[in-house]
Amino acid sequence: MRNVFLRRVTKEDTHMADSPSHPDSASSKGFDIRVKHDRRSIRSIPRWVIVFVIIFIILVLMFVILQLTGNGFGSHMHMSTIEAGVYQL
Amino acid sequence: MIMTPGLRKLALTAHVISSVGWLGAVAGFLALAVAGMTSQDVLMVRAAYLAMELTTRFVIVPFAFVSLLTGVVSSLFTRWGLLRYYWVLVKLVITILSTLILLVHTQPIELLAGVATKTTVVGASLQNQQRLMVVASGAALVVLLVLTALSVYKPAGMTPYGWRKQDEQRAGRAA
Repeated sequence: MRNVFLRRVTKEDTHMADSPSHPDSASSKGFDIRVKHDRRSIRSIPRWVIVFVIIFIILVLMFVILQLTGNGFGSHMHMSTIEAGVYQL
Repeated sequence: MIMTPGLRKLALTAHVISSVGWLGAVAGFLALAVAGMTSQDVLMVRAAYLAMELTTRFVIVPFAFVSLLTGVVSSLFTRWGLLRYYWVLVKLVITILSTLILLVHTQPIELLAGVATKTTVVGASLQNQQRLMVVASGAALVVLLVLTALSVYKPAGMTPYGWRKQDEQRAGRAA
């Protein structure tokens, strides 16, 4: 995957190196738009990061909901409370 | 500042050992937590909770801190950087959160071990704590597997900070 990434960056660099000599020409404008679009797509947040963030938010929400509904594990009891409730196996 | 190849390999070796050691210790902890929750043998339950407390104190917590420290050193002083690539950043955030959650959960582990030490009985009110140990260590195992996969695959993606730094370096070289 990293090779693909590096190839894309190299391609972008090649585009920049081959820039037309007439900046105001129509083909030049098309080229600029394409380069800007490529750069934006390369520099945007990768999909896997977005997936990770979504999973993280879902887990946090689940944790909060469990806590609010009283089903969470966060209610750590004090030692004396625990020992008061012991029973013989 | 970039480390010499020898130092880089030393830091990386320490990071791999501590990270994989952390993963293995949590897997062992999960086995003990399941045994403590499901076993009908009192001695087995006591032994499991005592072993869990020792494993946490002397293996899991030290490995977590060493993994975090060596990870920060390995990334800061190599070309990867700490904040340049998303996979390094995600690993850093997950490792910090995991270490914090681990420290929070040492309290119920100590409570269970304390009860196992002082009494030959296990409380009905401990069931929630027993369940917590299984769920927490299972979740920790999944998280550590994800961290390991991230380290191996190194998925693509540079942060805005990484792009800015790269542009600065290119501009510096061109000048």
